[in-house]
Amino acid sequence: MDNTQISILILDDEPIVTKRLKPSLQKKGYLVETFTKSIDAINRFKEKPFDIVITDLKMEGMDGMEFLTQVKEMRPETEVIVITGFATMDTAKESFQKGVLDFLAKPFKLSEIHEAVAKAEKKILDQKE
Amino acid sequence: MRILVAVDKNPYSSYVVHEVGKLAINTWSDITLLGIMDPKEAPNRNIENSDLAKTLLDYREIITFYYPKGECPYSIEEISSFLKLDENRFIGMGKGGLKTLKIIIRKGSNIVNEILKQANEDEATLIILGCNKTNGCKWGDLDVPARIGNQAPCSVLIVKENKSPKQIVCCLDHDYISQNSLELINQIVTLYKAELKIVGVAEGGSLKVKFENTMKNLFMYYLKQDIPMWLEVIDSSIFPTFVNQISQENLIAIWLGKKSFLRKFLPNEKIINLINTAPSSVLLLR
Repeated sequence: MDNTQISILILDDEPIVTKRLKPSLQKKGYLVETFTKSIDAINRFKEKPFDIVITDLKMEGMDGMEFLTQVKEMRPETEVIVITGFATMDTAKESFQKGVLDFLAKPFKLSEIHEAVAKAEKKILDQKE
Repeated sequence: MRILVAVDKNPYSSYVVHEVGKLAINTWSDITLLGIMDPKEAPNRNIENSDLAKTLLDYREIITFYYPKGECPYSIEEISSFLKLDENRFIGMGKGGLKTLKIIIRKGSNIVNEILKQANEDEATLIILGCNKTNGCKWGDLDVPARIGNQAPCSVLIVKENKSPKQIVCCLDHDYISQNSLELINQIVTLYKAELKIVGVAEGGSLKVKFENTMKNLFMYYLKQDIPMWLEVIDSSIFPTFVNQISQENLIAIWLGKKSFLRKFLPNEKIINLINTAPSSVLLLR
């Protein structure tokens, strides 16, 4: 396995979203794991620090904002991309205040996610240099 | 979300820009403001001095004004010149910004084709354009919004007025409901804080099992999303009349895939007629 491969955790409570994103990002060469429950995602993140997290906001149990807050507390260098079907000015502002790299309202094209992930990857690689 | 906003110099386009501003402040979408210039009227140089360019720059300012100072995700840098992309396309864009807000001017005599070309180039998720409800929704003599609504590869919102709808009435396609269209409905409902009504069409007074399941799944989906919704089933024989009545006061959304079930009752000419005559805004979902 290539040690420099970028790892991505995707959390969305709608399986159709994770099923769409996973293969398209794997094709680009990323290591991708998907979750539909935030508790499972946070437990996995505690075991394995991911480079990039893509998370929905509106979910049962721990919502995406709480999830990304915990991710950033545990590992500030993880780049977070928010995807949301119920975007509001407040959630956009709060997301950026918590240090997310990008905020994508659904529906989005795969190319939008690819661009956001490429931006995150560049930032991660620049920081490593 | 990538929004293509097709505008001209008429007042209805300024209503559209305000609606885009409201949507953008929630969604932080990438936005293209598109103006089409007749090649006969296009200046050979300094396109930024044209009336269309000035109008587009004003519209850009309207969108950025929706944000409190220091919170705009788009570049607010002044655009003093446009870059020529090729013989027929010019771009105006400020540097920086978390999100893209660009102005594109295309030279072309076929407005509909130019809008569709830009939608493809941008991989737009949504096209928004406006028209005056008192003149049959025309741009000059052409029913541009109706043609875009009919031919676009993505969803299209045709804005006819600058008032927020109280109810979003979605006419369901039984065969295929794209995830994109559900997500777009969610954003529109969130934007307007409107009630949601899902309407299914029954043929010959009976419902097919598949259709019942679709309605049930949608009900469960919106229940899970905590969005209050109404379900209504109407018979296909009254569907065109129903659509006309609903469009008097509410934003009407119609699922229109290539092989949409609704095409049986709303063929192209009826869709064009609906768009041209509906007093309220129309959303065509794909």
